[in-house]
Amino acid sequence: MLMKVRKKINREMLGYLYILPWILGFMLFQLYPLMASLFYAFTDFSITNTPVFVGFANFKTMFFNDPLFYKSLGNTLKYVFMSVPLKIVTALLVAVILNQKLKGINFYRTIYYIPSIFGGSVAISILWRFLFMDSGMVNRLLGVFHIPQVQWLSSPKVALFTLSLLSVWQFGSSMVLFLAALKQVPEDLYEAAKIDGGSGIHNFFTITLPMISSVLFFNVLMQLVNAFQDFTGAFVITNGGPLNSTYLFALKLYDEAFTYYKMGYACALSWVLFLLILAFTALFFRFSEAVTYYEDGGDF
Amino acid sequence: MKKRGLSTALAVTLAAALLGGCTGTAGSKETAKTTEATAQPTTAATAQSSGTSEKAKITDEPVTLRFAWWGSDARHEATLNAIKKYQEIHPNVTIEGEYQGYDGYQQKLMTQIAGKTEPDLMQLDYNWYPDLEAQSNIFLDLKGTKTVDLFVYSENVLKNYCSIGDKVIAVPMGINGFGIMINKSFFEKHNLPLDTKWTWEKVVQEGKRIHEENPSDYLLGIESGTSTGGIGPFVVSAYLYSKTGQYWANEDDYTINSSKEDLTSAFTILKDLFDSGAAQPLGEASLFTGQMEQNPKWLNGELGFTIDWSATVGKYKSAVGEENFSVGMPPFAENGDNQNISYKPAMVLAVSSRSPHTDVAADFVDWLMNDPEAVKILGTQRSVPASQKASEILEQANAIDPDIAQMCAFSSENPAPPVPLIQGNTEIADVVKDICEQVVYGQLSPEAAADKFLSDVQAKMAVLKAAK
Repeated sequence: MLMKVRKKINREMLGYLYILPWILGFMLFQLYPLMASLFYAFTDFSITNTPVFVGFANFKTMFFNDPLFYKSLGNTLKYVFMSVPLKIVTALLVAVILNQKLKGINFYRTIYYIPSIFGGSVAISILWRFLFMDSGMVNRLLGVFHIPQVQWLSSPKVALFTLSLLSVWQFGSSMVLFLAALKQVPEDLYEAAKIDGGSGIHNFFTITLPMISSVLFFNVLMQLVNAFQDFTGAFVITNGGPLNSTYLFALKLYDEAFTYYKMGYACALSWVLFLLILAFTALFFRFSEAVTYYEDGGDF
Repeated sequence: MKKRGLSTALAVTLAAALLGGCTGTAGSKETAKTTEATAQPTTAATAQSSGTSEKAKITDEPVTLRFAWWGSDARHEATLNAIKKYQEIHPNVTIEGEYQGYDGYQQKLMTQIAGKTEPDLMQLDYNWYPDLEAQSNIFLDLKGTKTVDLFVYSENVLKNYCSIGDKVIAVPMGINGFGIMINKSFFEKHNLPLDTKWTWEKVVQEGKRIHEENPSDYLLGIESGTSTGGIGPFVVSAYLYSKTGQYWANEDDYTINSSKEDLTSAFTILKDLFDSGAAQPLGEASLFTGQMEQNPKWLNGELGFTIDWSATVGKYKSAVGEENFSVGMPPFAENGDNQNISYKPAMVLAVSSRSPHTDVAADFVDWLMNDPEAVKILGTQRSVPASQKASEILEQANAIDPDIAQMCAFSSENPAPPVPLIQGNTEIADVVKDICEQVVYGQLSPEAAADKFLSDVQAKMAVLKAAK
């Protein structure tokens, strides 16, 4: 009996041993910074000084005495609501096209995934800058077709939209997931619909979309969480300008931490962002329970 | 119910993991490189034949030092070569270069200082001192070293730009003149004499004419900028200083010296610059913040001039070619009270007091700044050397870039006193920048901007004063 228990414990310990590297990494690089940032959020900490506890002062400043906080929050919300739907629709559209039985389809699948590999890196951001500046490629192309030119990056009204285009361009990872989901939709449903006289578009909305709703949900959620934290494009291309129109929350956070060296305030900001994302995610989960269809009943 | 609990938990972990993961991207803009300049195995004989080896050796033990600086490729190469030379003379010393561009350099250094892992030798910018004040004991007081000769530097420069309190924490590496970087082909095309003495009013007037004649040409290119450049410091503050003869900020009591009338006229000039087409549209120019030499308009000769420090001459010149480049005095205010020109150390070099080998580090500092060979290798990569000894060596060798020399000469004739540190404070500078942008984009009239400047900047100063 005792042997058996010991053996069982040993087996369990072995399991923990296997995941120990991950646990250590998680505690050191995720959990500790997370907890530390919570602590610093209540301090005045200018990185080279010792932190001084200030209670809720950082949050008070943020909500009552920092116009750029609201400005950056507004920008971020606008950015999220522009980039996420655009990106999801693009990804789904391309996935549907790539799901067709076409010649050389594997080649196209690779090609369309490439932008996601490049991602929103610094180099791509710089490329974006040269494409979309007033005398850039995009405007020249428009000029050829006698379409009026747009101040893509230098107009405060348009710049944020141009940045969300950069994010839309990286639709590849969502697309791959959509593609996998589309392949999972049972063929017999379409056959049944065909017999009943269903058309293509009609089938898409009544069969395809409900069947891939769980993946759609997952994709939207991931992109939502990512978009709230987007940084590189706004940092490299416009640095928040013109007129702070692309001053995203992540940029504000960066400036507070690494330009003004107000680490405590920056940590407080990051917790506000965290709670905001959490709230959106929770809300989204509530909403999705009603509309998502799971073939296996939806139990995790 | 069970499902909801699970999904909430899932949501939390997901958000947490992603939030944790995002921190990695923040540093991606910085292009840090670390290299180890390998120690050249040299024989004792070659070491002794070298001039500086006559000095008593400090130690025979193997010593490794880290040296951090920012700059362009040319500066990196020169500095690495100088390090190599030092290692040849001192085979027991290895100096590792930690070099990168200006972007992200201060952030990295401050983080290192906070983590007590700063390099032994650090290139600094003097307007970071307020951020470092509380930590001034981490810098070696160079007055206390036997090896660093402080008499080769100007006493004023040491006092104004290299000291925190009564400690000399750094030596100036180069002296920066200030002025305009001229695109010669543009000036020739529009028949502008290179030695035109610009006033801001004249920039508007000439720039307007040029832009009307050639809609793709702009006389001035300048960005929204930061605390170290752009329309705030280089147009509005510069105009105010030249018009009134004093800086707009008062360092002693954190107040604003400038009157509403003066501020209004400064913002009017700013507005006119952009409204008239004298300056390239701000949104476009700002895409090249800190890298105006990459602006296609600069490369194509469609931009007349930009404003910058002499240490950056190299990059502007190499972008358009030597034959297309010249320099000039910065614009002044018409009928202004003075025509002083900013003049400050390009960079300063400090030694960490926490280094286990401060003696070797101090020796290296003095060698790098004054040894004839080191001076010749470094050339004017950090503008004209601040050390009297070094600049004489370069002058004799005829190795001073004539454009840099010219800018420094303009500046040294009428040097302006140091800019109050509060005026260059990053938070203040960002408030000023926001107001300037609103003027340029027509959201604020110059008069309203002056009012906003007086209230917002004063409010921010009060916050900073209280925090002090």
